[in-house]
Amino acid sequence: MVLDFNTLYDFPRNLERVFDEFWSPLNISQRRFAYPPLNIGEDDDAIYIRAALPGMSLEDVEVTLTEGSLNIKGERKSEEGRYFRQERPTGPFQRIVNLNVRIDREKTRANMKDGLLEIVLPKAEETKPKQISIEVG
Amino acid sequence: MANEALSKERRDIPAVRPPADILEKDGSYYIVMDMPGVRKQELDISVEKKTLTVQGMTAYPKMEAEKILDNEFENVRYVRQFTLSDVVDKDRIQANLDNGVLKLHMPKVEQMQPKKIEIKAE
Repeated sequence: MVLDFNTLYDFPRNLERVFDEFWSPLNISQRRFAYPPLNIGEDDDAIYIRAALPGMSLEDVEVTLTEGSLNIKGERKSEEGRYFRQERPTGPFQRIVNLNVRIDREKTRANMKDGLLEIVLPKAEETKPKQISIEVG
Repeated sequence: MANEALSKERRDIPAVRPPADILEKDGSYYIVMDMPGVRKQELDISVEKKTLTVQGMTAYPKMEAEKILDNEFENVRYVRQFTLSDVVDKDRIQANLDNGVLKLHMPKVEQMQPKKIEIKAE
């Protein structure tokens, strides 16, 4: 039997955090509770979406790109056995990311490493900023 | 102390307790932990007396050139300790890190075979 007292010791702080999050106006969207957590970045060429999905392989995750959104879908399964403690989340999940630019669908790519899913969505050529030289006549 | 050796930059990274499952299967105990972003080189597992300590640093790639639109996770330092019972064979603990999930296999101590005591009757 393995004993772990950490949860008990952490309890007052956990409770405090729940109250803090409750009062924070930023969390009204409940985004913090959404799974999986996402980091989204953008530069001139592409949109980068990163999701922390430990233990999932690329085949387990269904990523679909529609006209205006990206859909990340999958299910986390738990191992068989007699559980003394179960903290890791299990079950189906889905997150939808709204995209406000046209994506070059042919060049999208996804990569999974160390539990981090990275999706690169290159922007379509016509949406990239172009420099227009103005001739002064 | 190991903590002293950590550079200041590392100490500034928030410490997080990774979620863990503890289960028994096929006569062994397993601890399974979600530690996304941790590479094998950045993982440290040690057993001292009855305390098992797992520490790991995440190594997410930096994105300096990008404009951040949404930031829900960041680099963290995972720390978690467990107290092992005598049933666990501490010398045979095996660790396996696969795609951000650490699995510790903890076999039980080999039970001594019950010894039959013969009684000699006169």
